[in-house]
Amino acid sequence: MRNLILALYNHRVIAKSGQSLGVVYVIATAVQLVINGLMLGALYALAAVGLSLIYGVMGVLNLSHGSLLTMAVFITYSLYLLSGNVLAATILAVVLVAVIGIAIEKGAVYPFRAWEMRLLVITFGIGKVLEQIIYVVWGPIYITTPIYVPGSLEILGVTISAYRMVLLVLSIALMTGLWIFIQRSKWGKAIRAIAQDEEAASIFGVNVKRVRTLTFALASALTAIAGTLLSSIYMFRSASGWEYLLIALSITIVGGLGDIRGAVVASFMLGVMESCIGYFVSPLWRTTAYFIFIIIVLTVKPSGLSGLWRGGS
Amino acid sequence: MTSKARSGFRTTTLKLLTWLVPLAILALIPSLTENIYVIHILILANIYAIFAASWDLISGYTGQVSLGHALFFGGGGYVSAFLAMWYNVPPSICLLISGALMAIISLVVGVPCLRLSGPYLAIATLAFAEAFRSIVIALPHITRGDEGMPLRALILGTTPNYYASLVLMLVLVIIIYLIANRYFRLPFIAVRENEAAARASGINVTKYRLLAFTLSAFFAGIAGSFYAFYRMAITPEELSIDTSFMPLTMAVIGGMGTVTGPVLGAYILVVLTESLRVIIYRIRILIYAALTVAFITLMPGGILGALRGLAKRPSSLRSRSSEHPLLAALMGQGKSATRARAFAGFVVWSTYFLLFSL
Repeated sequence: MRNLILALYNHRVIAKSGQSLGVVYVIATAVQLVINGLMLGALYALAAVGLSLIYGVMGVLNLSHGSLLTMAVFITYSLYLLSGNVLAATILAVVLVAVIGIAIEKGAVYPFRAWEMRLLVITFGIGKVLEQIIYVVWGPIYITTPIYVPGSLEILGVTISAYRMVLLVLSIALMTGLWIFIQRSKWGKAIRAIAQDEEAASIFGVNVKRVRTLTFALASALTAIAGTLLSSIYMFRSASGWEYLLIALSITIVGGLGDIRGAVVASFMLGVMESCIGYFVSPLWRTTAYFIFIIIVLTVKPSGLSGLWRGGS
Repeated sequence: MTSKARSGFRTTTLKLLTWLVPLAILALIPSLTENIYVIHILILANIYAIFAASWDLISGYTGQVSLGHALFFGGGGYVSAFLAMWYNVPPSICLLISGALMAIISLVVGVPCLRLSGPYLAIATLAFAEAFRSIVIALPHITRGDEGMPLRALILGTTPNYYASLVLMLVLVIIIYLIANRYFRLPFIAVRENEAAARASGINVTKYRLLAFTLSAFFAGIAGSFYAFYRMAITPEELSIDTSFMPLTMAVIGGMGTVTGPVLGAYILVVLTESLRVIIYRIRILIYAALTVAFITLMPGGILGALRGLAKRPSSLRSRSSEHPLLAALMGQGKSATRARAFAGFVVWSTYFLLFSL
């Protein structure tokens, strides 16, 4: 709170002292905050879309999602240390995490699809197992993966790190790819059919089991990519996954559980909110802010953003 | 005396004995052993037994999984620390106040989440526990941050503490047992088993879920408060996901929805991990997690459920095996139940288990 008051005060002082300088400073800060937030939002969207996709298609809240994200980070890190090639390490890690996702779906989710609450405990337990495997194998260390594009861009007097723009563009490209896949391809149509009505889809010849597996693999791969990209900005330890699970959960709740479009819009909103909170208050308060968002949305409009375009709740 | 009456008498005696013998052993332990470490472990087990039973009240009975019960455990501890250190409130009143305050706080999460059906309570409790932990860490000038807050001891000495924890555990667990199995058994289980049917038969689903959640928070708060007084400190560690995971594991291993099952699970887990502390300390949470996954997938009734099934019908494991294909394969059930298939099932099952327990 003290930081917020100080920041506002500084802005006022600067705005008063120099006529044009103050305005430019305020605008530059605002633009930087928004771009930073959009970049964060794009990365969160990659993680949240997977969670939302799984909930939308099979009604399962995969609480091991965050641990899969951390798993990808640590696998990338180790593979990079072994091979020295970032791209190959990332791709291999994404594939490995997708395989873990498939194993979770086949071994622990599909046989228990009838019990929603039991699945919560199962996926939470698996998330904990993965987190502890990371802890036992890699130890209590903080890591980052060394992906970096040097340099910075200057647009209208606002300096932006080139690397953050690359991240933003990359995540938006991936999301567009996913959107086209779901809207246009045969598999995408099958996914949407199952999301609407599983029984009817299986009557019309959709292989429900295979599509579920594909969805889980896709979601795990997306969260793995999100993790690897995030790990170039933030430090990761074995338990970091829960924080990102929480962020992804609040995004899916704000966007409406199971709604991919809502999740994307919500992640940009929450990304900008987080970067503003990080600047004006303190990054320590971001978890609290996400929690407050969850409670407000659940109290006011439980269907989230998806209620806005679907109408009603 | 007819044979039926005699067998009824015999089962009542048996039931009483299964309650009284462990109790007598627990009550006599301080006179049996001089080892303070053993008594310390049992005090922890008593506290976790309350915690696990309180978790069972909301998650085992009404079926709404709470993934952030550490909020009430650690929160109760912090409330007691504030009250005792700043306002010099006597400890026994601290216990009650922190329980009551946690019950009020549970309404913040409970009212928005429990009127909806779906996994909302799980999400919100998980988020609230983490949010509260980050608030505690973000305000070091009030809560002393990661260092935690010190407290004055409730009672001095290990043996008096042991008896206090035992009495507290007995009283609270019996209250929880009566609430869950006597007064509100039918509405709770109706809400858990079929929400729509419960609503149709005139049960106010939200009211009973909220009641269970608030009571659960109350008892968890008392447990956390006693824990803080016993340890003479409370740290953000007590608000972490690891702590939230403890009652879940205990309840799943002991048997969800029974109250006595989680108590049994608490004793088993605490004694197991503390006695193997030197060897498995680093992997203890991995073992908890692997056990949870193994139990909830293969044996959802927990140890108590299996014991009850065996007491009633030795072959009950076979009848439940249709729940899981791997278990069915292991039991050699199905149309072509050959020995080879059972063996294949066994191989699959053990790799499955090895995979999760590494």
